[in-house]
Amino acid sequence: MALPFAAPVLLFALVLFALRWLNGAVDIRLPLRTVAVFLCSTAAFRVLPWPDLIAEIDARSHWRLPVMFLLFVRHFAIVLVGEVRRAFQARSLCVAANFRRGGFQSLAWATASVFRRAIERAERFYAAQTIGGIEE
Amino acid sequence: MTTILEVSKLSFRYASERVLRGISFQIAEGESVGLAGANGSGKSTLLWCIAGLLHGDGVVRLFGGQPAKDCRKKIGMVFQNPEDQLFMPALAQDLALPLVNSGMRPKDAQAVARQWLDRFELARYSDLPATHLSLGQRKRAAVALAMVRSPQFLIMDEPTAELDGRAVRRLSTMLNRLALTKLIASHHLDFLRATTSRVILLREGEIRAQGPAPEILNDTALLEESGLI
Repeated sequence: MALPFAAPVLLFALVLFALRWLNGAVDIRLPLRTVAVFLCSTAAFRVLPWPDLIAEIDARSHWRLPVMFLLFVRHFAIVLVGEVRRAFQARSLCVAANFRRGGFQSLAWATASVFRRAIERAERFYAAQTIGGIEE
Repeated sequence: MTTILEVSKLSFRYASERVLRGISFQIAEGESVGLAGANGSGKSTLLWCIAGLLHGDGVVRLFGGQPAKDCRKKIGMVFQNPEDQLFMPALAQDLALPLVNSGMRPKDAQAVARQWLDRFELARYSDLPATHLSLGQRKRAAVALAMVRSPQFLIMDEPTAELDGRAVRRLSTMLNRLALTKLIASHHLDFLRATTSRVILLREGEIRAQGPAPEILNDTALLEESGLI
């Protein structure tokens, strides 16, 4: 079954909300901002001629920061989709039925594993870009 | 001969787990050194400490006494997963990015990037995103990316992971053509035989042995004890 394209980001926003709620605060700004950034980036990527734009932008351009930011968001959305797909495929191979014994527990563990993997991937991506001189 | 890397009494821990213990070694200019060890022996952590991405206790000095963060331009690094390095809409842009970061004009950076892609037999994929390439090609692209700023020291973390035999041979041939100091972490023993002259063997975060590559890599008892065969 194909994963709806926004599902991982919505799940991510939902878990962000849940974590804040568990911490005693009802705060929807961060999850809403996450979804808004995703939707704006998606729209921007569909409309603008990115490959040409990126090839022309030099290190001093005012456009460089937003362009790089959108590229990072795009890359991380792809990473997140891949990690969600892998985690939930692995879960579906282990769980006989979603709503029987163990279904919810495995869902919680699969969701948690997506976060752990996403953090690891983000850390490695940041390290790779640091070595590549992104901070210069 | 000039010392490129000096590691002295380096220790590192993740929370309560001690990953590296008292690591000391040196690498001279032009040497190609292998870092062998089983999974979890501390190879990747050691490489991250050397590149200045993690900070442990002890001393890591490069190029005659500088900390890694002060000489990043002289270091190239290939990560285990090429997806962590290649993310632009076209491969040539991935390679041009570090050059643009260091102030080169985008068009000049693209020209240099294309030259490096050509050297790694990837010229015809220049305008494609890395996701369109095979894993072997992506690994070569990651090496080309690490080389694009003409570093003096190349660090590689498991460059052969998940590669088939032919891709491993191709990668080792290309690496041998690069005349610079290299530190290559791998548990692929044939690849280390083909690409390195000296091997440091890690076991549970400590240096178990170091010496000429043939001596270490032909010591069956030592390799078995270290979980490599």
